[in-house]
Amino acid sequence: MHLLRQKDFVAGLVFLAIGGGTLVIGRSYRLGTASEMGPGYFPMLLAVALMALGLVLAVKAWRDTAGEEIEPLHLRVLFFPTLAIVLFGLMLERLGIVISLAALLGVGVFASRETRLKEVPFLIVAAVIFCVAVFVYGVELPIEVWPK
Amino acid sequence: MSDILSNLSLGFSVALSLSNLGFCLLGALLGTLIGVLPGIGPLATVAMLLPITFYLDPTTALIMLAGIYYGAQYGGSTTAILVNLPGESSSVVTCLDGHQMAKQGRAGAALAVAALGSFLAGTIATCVIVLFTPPLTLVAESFQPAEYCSLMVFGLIAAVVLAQGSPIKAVAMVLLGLLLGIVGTDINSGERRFTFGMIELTDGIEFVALAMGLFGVREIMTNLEKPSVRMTTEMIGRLWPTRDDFRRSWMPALRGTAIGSLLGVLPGGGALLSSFASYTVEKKISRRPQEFGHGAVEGVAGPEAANNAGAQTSFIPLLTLGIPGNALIAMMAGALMVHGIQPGPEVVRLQPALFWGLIASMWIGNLMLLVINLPLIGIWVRLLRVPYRLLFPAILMFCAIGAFGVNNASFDILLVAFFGVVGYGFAKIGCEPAPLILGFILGPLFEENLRRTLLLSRGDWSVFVTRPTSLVFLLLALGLLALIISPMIRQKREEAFQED
Repeated sequence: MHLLRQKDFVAGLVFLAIGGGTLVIGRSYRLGTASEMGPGYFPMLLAVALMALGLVLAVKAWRDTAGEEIEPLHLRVLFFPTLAIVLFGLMLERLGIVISLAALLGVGVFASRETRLKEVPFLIVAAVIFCVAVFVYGVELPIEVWPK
Repeated sequence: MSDILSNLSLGFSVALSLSNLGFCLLGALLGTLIGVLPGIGPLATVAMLLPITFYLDPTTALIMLAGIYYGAQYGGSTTAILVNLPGESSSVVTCLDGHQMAKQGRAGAALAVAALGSFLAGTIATCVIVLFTPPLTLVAESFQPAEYCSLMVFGLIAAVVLAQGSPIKAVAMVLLGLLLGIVGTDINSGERRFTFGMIELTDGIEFVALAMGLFGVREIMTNLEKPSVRMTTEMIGRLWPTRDDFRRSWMPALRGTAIGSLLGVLPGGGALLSSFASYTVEKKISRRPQEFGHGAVEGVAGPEAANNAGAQTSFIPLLTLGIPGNALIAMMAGALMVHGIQPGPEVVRLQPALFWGLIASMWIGNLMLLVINLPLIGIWVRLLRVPYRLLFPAILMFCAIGAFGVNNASFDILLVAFFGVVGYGFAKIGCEPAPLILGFILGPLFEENLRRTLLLSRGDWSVFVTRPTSLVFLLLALGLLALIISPMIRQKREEAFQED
């Protein structure tokens, strides 16, 4: 249990997992030989090296019990910015920039405890004006202002 | 000599064109701005601004990005001195004595010494680039794929060893970066690798989205974990240093410039390491070491000169060898590649206007910073009071729209969110994202050179040790690894980064 709270041990596991995953996916790519490398050759090299490092990290952390502990995750700061950007990505091309920006900022501001809700509408209005001027009319990104 | 002069005049004619001057100024101002604002690093800013540079001509784009880089060094020191908060990681040491000077009512003098030291360093470092880059490119042009591979191994390992944090984790992050770099269509076989069936990944992971996620969004997340600090700024006082300040500063500034110019060239060097090294040196050789930490002007002049010199000379490996030495330079490489320019020795020969224009603009930019910054300090101080609760939504917005703007693809916006989460996770387990960016940029290049080397040698790996230049690079890399593993050196290295 304690081991799973140690930074280096978890980092080791993560690298082992990524390396392992690469090996599994990369199996389907032709390996080739050193003189004529197939698409699978270089990724295999990297994956093996990554797993080796992951193993070293994990074993070292396992033997050294005094390793640094992982600080608690703050779900608030992880969740709101992520959700805001995902929403924006899903909405932008369908609903236009005004609604998407309102969603991005309306959701994103909750990431901070210090957000003052009274300020949010002003923030959104300012952002919309700026983005429409710069990105839609300025650099002419192919974005609609309103839903089609 | 006449060659250099004609090249320089070409450079200045490019850099002095109206639009290049304008973007140089814009970059320097933006750099100062983000340097001043704690909580927005230069990496996040450059990531946010990359999409804008795609609309510019490559020379102009690079001039502006470079301006951001060294402008940030200037700006970072302002916050360090006035608020005791390093606006930039490379200004950490400036806090020590700079803020003490401010507390004694000599903030103006500290700011002026920092600015003058930086300008001196910037001027000398520009000369260093002018003198050393062309001969180095000649060497680099004789390299075969084998040398390139070994050089990249050396560069990546050096970057990892000289940077902060656990070297094993950093090497692992480099490998992960290399892996992410090869996602997409393999140029030799046409096979799609690691695309998870997503058509959007056929051309690989969008660099801008990766950088925005790992630096922009992740930075927001880690910043918001802590409650924001109230800024109390010291009074600025008289802006001109005393005669005594000058007398005590000029040697440290020159030494700092030398240290910075040298360390900046090393992969992984650059601004941060240079300023730490300079502070340590000044403290060691000072006749009044007890004054350090209590407002010694040497402790401001040296590191400030060093970080600016280091920031400038870290362009040398990129422009001569095509190998970025730190994550920020890797972003510049990314910007060049978007314009279809592969950074490397050919740039000097094929794109003289770009190369010499960039160099000339560095000096012009430094001059601008000196002239505009001291009078503008009042404005920067006021900007310090912009609360982070208003700043971070703006960063989110720039990341999201900017990512879309690169390819007009909503998929890239989702990538930003994905890599933001990944970056946050890695931060929690103590893995820095900077080495990953280096690996990502070099991934395809490395694979291609490895492939060619072994094709030429008919699969014989010994070619890496039988070619002398390649052997030297590999031995250097091995030596660095040995150093880092030896416990004594490791302790020293930790000390160097924790200089108090």
